[in-house]
Amino acid sequence: MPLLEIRNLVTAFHTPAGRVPAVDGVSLSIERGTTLGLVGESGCGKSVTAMSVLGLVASPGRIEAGQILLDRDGRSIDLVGLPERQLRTIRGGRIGMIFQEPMTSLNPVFTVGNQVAEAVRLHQKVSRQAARARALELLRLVRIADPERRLDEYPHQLSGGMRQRVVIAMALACEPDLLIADEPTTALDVTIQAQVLELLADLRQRLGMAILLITHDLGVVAETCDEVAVMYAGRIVERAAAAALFARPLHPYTIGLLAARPEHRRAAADPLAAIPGMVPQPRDFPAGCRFHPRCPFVREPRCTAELPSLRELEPGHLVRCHYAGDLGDPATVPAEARAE
Amino acid sequence: MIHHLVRRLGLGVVTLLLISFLVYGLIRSIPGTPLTVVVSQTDPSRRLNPADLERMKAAYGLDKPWYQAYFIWLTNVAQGDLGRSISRKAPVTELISKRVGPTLALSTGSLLLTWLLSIPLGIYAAARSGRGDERAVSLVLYMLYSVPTFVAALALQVTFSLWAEGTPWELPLFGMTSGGPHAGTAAWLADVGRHAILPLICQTYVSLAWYTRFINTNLQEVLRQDYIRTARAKGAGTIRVMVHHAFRNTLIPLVTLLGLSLPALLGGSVIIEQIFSWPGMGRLFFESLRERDYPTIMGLTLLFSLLTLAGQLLADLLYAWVDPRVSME
Repeated sequence: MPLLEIRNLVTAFHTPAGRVPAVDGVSLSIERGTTLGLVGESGCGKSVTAMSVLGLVASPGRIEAGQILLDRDGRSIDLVGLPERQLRTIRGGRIGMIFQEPMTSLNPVFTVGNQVAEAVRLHQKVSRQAARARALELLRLVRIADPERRLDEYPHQLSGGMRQRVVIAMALACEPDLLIADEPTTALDVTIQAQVLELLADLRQRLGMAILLITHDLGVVAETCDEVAVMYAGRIVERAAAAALFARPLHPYTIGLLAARPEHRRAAADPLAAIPGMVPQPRDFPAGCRFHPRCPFVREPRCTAELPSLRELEPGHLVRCHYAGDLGDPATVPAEARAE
Repeated sequence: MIHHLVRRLGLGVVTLLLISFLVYGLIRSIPGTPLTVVVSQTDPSRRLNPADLERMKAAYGLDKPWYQAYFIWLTNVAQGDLGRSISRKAPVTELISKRVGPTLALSTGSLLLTWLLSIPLGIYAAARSGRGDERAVSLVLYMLYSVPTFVAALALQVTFSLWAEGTPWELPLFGMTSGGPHAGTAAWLADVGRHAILPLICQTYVSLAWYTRFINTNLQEVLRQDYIRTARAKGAGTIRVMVHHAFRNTLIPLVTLLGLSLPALLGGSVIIEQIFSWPGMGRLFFESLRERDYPTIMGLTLLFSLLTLAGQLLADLLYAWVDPRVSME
């Protein structure tokens, strides 16, 4: 049984302008101790998927369908529809989460020690002193220099990298089975990025936890993930082992993403490859395959009319494309670019 | 820290001098003097002998130009003497000290009531933001906020003194006591309490609406912050998130308000004290202005300015205390 299994999750926002399905039938699974990378551009529904797992989708959004099954000591519990009281024991207890903005993720009016200790005391009946001792231990675990001093400092006295370490320490307070990391390095300097990623990989091994890594950075995925799921416009378009995906991407979107990486250029002088067009807004998702207006391999009429299903093209390699494996030659200019 | 305090105090003294100088010049330019006002009230038909008038002017120091008189007043103040009231024949300090008690009773009561009610109401409104019950509460508060004090005071007086006459709900129309001897302190307190109810309601309802709205808007702003999401992801429940994480952050703008409300605490409300004939500072200020009682006006002005400056200093200090990012260095 996988640690976490998401089945056909639909999370939609009910705005005055109508229903906006940010996550539209996503299925994922994460095995214990592994890292799953959830990749996609901004607005594709990655973060909403993560917030759905924790039951923290902000109003007017709500989970409309699907199951989120968490393995708890061999028993599978569905987080969808779980009462708030029980969800609270999961949040920060079984599932820890870290966020994109280390600068603003900590409460400015409490000390670092206070905030880390709170994460402990919310889930375990321990004394203040014991929680503080545990907080110190956690700060050591995330390798913060001079942890005794940092305990009594306020977030504004810490650098961005250190704050992210504090957030990680908080998420690990109860040794969760799963750590959800939502763009954990996006706001950090490149050198700090590498340190934080290395720390996460190391912690995963030492604590035996699984990580759901949400990112738009394929470089990060290549370095850290066992499995990858690529999301586009609220749906998973490709799922595979990381090695297989990088070796042989099947979906035109994934192919485009890989080609758009700066390190993919043969020479520094080459122009950056880009996928033309923009991610569509959930309220005007196109009919048929949602990627077709930007797809260089688009074939009428099937791509524009019929929604492709997620099919297993190779063992363990799933793709949502009518012509994956047999894409043919790319059109010189995709539809969206033609329209412009 | 000490350097900062010294600088603030120095600036405060300069501000006080400027305020008192300007106010003195202004009140001396209002038509009428304490003497003409008193005479016209006591005996409008009689015309004062010009020679007598000059003598009285000299006795009260009104024959000197106002800037000269200001410096005499200032010298006396520096020696701790606020002077004697012209119209009331008593030292200004004595007049003020008699009026402070009633005003403090009303204003601290109102402030406590406001905070006790507005903090839970504000938190509740922010937690239920956008739902039916929150909208109803906000609408009622907004309507209250729009009602002028004198209208509310009249409505209350009509309801509780005229309509409720003879019922247990009847409340006194004005004054602080019903007069007459009281059988012990408890009876006196009960009498004052009954008299205080209507003015207290009047003084509280506007600030209640205002504070609740202030807390609600600030909380909603705080609730959108990333650290609130972090707290929820840690497993903190709604009440803990609202009270511990969010409200602690709205204290930062609230302490500014607390500092600013310090002068009103002693200053009282001119309108409410006038309507309910409450013998407080606001009424004293109003009456002394009408009587052109320069020493009393100046004494009160000095006190209110001092309190305003002290309130700002207090807000500054509290600010540094509730927000670790602010440092006095």
